Amino acid sequence: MTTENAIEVSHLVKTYGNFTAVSDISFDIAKGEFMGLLGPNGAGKSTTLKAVTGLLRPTSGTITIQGIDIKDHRNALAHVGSVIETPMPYGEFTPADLLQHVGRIYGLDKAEIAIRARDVLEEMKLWDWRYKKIEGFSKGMKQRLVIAQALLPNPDIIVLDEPTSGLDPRGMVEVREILKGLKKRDCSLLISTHILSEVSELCGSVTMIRDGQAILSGDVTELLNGKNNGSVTLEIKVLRDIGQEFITDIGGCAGVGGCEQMGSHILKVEFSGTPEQQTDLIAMAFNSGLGLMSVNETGKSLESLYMQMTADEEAM
Amino acid sequence: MTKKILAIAAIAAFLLVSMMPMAVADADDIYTEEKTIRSSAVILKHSTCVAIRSATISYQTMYVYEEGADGSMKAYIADPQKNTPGKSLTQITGGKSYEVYYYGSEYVVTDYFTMGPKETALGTYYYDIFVEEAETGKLLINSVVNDRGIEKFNYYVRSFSETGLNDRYCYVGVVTNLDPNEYGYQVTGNRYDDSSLYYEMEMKLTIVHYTGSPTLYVGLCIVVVALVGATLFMCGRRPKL
Amino acid sequence: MFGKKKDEVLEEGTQPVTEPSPDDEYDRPRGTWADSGYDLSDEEAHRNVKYKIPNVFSQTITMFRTQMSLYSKRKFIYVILVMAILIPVIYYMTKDFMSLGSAVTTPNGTGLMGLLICLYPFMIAIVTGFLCGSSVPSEFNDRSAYMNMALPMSRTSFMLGKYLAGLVITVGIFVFAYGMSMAAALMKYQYFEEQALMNSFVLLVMSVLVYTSFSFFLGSVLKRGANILSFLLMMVVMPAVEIYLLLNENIDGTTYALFPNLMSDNMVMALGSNLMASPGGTINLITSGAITTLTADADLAAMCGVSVVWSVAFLILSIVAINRREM
Repeated sequence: MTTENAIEVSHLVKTYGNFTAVSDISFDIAKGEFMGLLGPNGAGKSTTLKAVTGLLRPTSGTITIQGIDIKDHRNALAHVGSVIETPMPYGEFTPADLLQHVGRIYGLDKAEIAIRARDVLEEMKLWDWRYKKIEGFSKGMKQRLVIAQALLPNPDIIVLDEPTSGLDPRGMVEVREILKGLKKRDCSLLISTHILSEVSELCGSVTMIRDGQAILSGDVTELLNGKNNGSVTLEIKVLRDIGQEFITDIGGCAGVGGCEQMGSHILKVEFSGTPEQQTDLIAMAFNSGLGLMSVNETGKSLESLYMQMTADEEAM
Repeated sequence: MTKKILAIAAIAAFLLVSMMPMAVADADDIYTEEKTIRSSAVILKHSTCVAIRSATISYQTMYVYEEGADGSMKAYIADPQKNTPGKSLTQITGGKSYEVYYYGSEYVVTDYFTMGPKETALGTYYYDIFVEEAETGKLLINSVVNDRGIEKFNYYVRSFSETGLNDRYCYVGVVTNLDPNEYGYQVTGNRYDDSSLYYEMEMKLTIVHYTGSPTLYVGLCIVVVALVGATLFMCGRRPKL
Repeated sequence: MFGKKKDEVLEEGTQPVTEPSPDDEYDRPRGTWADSGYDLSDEEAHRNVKYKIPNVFSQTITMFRTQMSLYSKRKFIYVILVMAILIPVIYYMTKDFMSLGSAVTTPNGTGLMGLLICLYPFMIAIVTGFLCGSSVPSEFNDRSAYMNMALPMSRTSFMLGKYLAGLVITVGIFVFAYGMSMAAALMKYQYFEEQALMNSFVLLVMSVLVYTSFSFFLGSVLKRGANILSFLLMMVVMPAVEIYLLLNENIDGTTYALFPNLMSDNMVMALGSNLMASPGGTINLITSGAITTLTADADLAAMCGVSVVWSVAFLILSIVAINRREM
C-alpha cells in the first residue's frame, strides 16, 4: 500500500461484544477513483464508512486517508467531505448558518464561505432557501443540504452513505451528475449504496460486502469480464419476424456460444468473441434484411454479478 | 472574528481583575472600635458612641449596678423561668456607664438553646446603639474567652443601618460539653445552689462601620450581562451569503 | 467546469453530450442551476482552492459560536430573561406588603437581596439542566452529531465549545437576574454589605459552574433524561444525604458548606438569609436558620476551590465519555 492512495483500509474488523459487524475488510481507493460499496442491509457498509470517517473506532485494522492514520482525526479528515447515516442538521439553523459552521471548521474565512456556499447551494438548488430554517425542509432538501456541506470545502475525498436516499428521481439524477463532475477534479469517492445502477453509473471499482465480509473487490469492468469469463449476452432486436435462417446465420458467427429466440423479434446470443468478431456479427444482423433495430449487451451487468455472488455465498 | 472574541474576553478579564482590588479596598475601609467586656459581666464603657439605655436579657438573672465598687444596684430581673423577653429596665439612664452582671458568680446561667441540645446561648443582649455620624455598621462579637467547658463559639450578628437609636440584638452561643436535660436546656436548679457551674466569660464587642455600596456589583452585573448579550448577538447574526 | 458558458451555442444537428469527453466542457443537464443564471467558472467559484484546517483553539471557538447561535434561536432563554426582569417589577408592586420577618438577619439591602434571590438554587438547577444537560444528547437524538463528528474537528473541541457556550449563557442569565434583584433591593435600601455581596456574587458564579458541569457530564453519558436526573441528584438526593450527615453531626458546618451542590444555598446564606428554595432552605425554615449558623465560618476560598475542582473533573469526564463514544 502506498501513500498515493486516497483511502487505504487494511484488515478492518469491528465487533460489538460477540457480534462481528465487519470482519477483515480491505480495500484501497486510488486518487481520483470512485469506489462503490455494495451490499444488502446489515452487511456492514455503514460500519465501514463510519470507521473510515472516524465515527467509530475499529476493533483492529488500519485506516489511512491520504497517508494519515484515521486516529489523527483532524488531519486525516482535513480534505474529506462526508455524509454518513443521513445526518439531520440543526433545525433552528438555516443553510447559511450551517454552511458557515462547517466552513469555519474547515478553515474557510468569511469571504470564502460566501463564495463556496453560493456555489454548493446553487448546485443543490437550495440557494433560494438559504435563509429559511432547516426544520421546514423536506427530507430530500435536507439530504441535498448535507451533500452541499460535504462539497463546501472542495474535498479531495468524498464519502457518502446512500446519498440519493430520500431524493426523487430527478434529484437522484442531479446528484449523480454532480458526483460525476467531480471526476474531472481528481476527487476520490467512496459511496455506499444498494442501488446497483448508481454504482455502475458512477464507480470504476466496487467492493461487495455481505455479512461483514468483502466477497468481491476490484475494477467493475474486470470483475464483470472475469466473472462472465468474457462472455456477454447480446440482445438483437429486429423489425420483422425472425426466421430459422437468421438464427443459423447468427449462430454460425465466430464467438457465438448459443442463440435463444425470445419472441418473434428478439434473439439472445451468448457471445464470447473479440470486439472485431462482435462487429462482424452486428454487421451480419444488419445485412440480414430483417431491419435491425438494436443490439444490447444484457449479460455484463453489475446486478447479475451481484446476484450471482450473493447466490454463490448462499450456496456455500 | 476569533480575534474579536479574544479581544472581548481580554477586556472582560481585565475589567474583572481590576474590579477585585476595588472591592477589597472598599471592604477594608472600615472604622473599628473595640470594647472589651470584662469577665463575668457585661460592661459597656464607651463614652462616645455606645450607651445603654435599656438592656433586656431573656431568661436571665440580671443585675445592673452603677459603676464602681460601691455602685448601687439599679435593677435586676429575677426568676428566669418566668421572665419574658423584652422586659426593659427603666432606672438606667443614658450616657452613664453601668456594670451589668447577667449572672451572679455563684449562680448559673439558665439559657435557652438555639441550636440543638448542646448549644447554650449566653443570652440575648439588646443594645441601644447610636452613632454620632451618618454611618452604618455592624455589631460583632469577636471572641469568647473561657477555659471551662466551652468547646465552640458561635455568634449571630445583626447589623444596624441608620443613624439614631436602633434596637439591635445579637445572640452569643457556645457549645458546651454539658448534657442537656429533658427539656433541651441545662437546668442548674435553684439559682442559689452553690454547686452549680458558671462561666467566666470575656467578650470583646466590636463596632464595625462599613461604608459599602453596591455600585461595584451593579457595574459588574452590567458588564457581564453586556458581554454575554453582545456575544449572543454577534454569534446569532445571520451570515450574509 | 460546471455549466456551459452562456455564449456557447451547440452546433445544429449535434447531439448533447451525456458523457464527458477528455477535452470538452461537461454539459450539465437542464433543470439544474444552469437555468438560474448562476454561472461561475471554477476559478470564480473557488472550486479548486484547498483550505487548511485551523488550530484546535479556533475550532473550539467555532463550536462555541455555533452553540451560542443555537441558544440565540431558542425561546427558553428569553422566557427566563423576562422572568428575571419581573423580579423588580413584582417587588415594586408588593414591597409595601412584604415583611422581611425573621427570615433575614440583616435588615438592609443585603438582607433584602437575600430574600429576593431565595428561588435561585431551584432555578439554577432547572435552567442548567435544560440548557446544558440537553446540549449533548440533542446532538445525538437529532442526528446532527453524525455531521459534526465526521468533520475534521477533535471531539474535545466539540465538547469544550458546547460547554463554554452553556456556561457563558447560564452565567449571563443568572448575573442578569442577580442584577435585577439588586435593582429591586436598591428601591428600598442604599446600604449593602460589600463583603457579603462579594461572597454571594462569587458563589453565584461557582454554583452555576458546578451545576453546568454536572449537567453537561450527565448529558454526555446518558441518552435521555440528563436534565431531570441532574436536578434530582443535585437538589434532592445529594442534599438529603448531606443534611443527614450534618444534623447527625457526622460532619460540621464548615465541611457541609464545601459540598459543591450547596454553593447556591451558600450564595443565599452569604447575604444573611435563611430562606431558599432548596432542601437546606427547608431545614433552615424548620430550625430557624440552623444551617446558616453552622456554616457561618465557611471559607470562601475553599468553596471556590472545591467548585472549580468539581467542575473541571466533570468536564474532563464528559470529554472522555464522548471520546470513547461510538456512533
